[in-house]
Amino acid sequence: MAHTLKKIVGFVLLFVTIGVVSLSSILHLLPPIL
Amino acid sequence: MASAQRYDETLHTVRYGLKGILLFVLPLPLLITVIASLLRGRVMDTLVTGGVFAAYMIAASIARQGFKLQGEYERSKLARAPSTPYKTIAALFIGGASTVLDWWTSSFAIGSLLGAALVGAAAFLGFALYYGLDPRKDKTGTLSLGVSLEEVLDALKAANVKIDAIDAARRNIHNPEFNARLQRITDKARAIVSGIEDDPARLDSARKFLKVYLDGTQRVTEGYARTHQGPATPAALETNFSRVLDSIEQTFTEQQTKLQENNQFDLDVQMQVLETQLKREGVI
Repeated sequence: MAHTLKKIVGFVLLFVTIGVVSLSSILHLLPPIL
Repeated sequence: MASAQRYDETLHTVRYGLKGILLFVLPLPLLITVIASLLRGRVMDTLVTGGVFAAYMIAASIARQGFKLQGEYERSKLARAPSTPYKTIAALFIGGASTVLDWWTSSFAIGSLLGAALVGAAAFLGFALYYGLDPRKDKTGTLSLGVSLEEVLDALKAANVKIDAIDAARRNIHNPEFNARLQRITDKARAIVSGIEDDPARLDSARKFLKVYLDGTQRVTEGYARTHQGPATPAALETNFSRVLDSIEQTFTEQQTKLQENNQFDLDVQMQVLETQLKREGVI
């Protein structure tokens, strides 16, 4: 149970930090494009 | 009845092949940013985002090296902790890259530095929770006084090299009977090596076995495999080889039984018999 929870929290943190920050980097370029 | 499962290398390769793939996939949107920055001719943005993307890819590769080493560490009963903490280095790279990227999205505003550092720390923590960091303790099993871990690992490594060499030579021997007997011999040798891993105190008495038996078996098998590749194998050689294999197999079986039944590894008498025979056959 604790192991699964650790994995889920770890996955969410990785997803939010790497995934979302990478995605938002595209948005950072958008205003000048639009 | 115990049903021991043979180690399936293909299965392991497939499982290892997928591990860490997330670290390559998650930063992919950043590649779009890199290309867009490049197309817009924004040198600084291209350098920063390209550098961060490269750092993510390098971190993923380093992490995979760490997963591989950890897999080997976990499979062994006795092992040194990895000397280079690949997973920790990868986690630091990912944390650093995330910090820089997040700070870049805030146009490097000083006020956003703390927030960016928190994002980096969260990435590090995420890696540590999801993949774990490197093992730091040596696995010493039931290591007894008088035998060092280094000594046991060296002896087991040398034994495994010899067993692998016997297996490699066996694949060049097309006689099905000899092939099957050699397969049984190497299976038994691996079981004996595994017995030493379980109780390293046996190493002292098994040292001679690991050296003379495996050396002798390796030499005779490689020698036979070389001769066997020629046009015809002399009948006398076939007979000699068969006789030597008989002795080796019988002695390996007896030692394996002794190991299982008595928990002892008294090889001296059997060793002398085989040693004499190997010398007589001109193997050693």
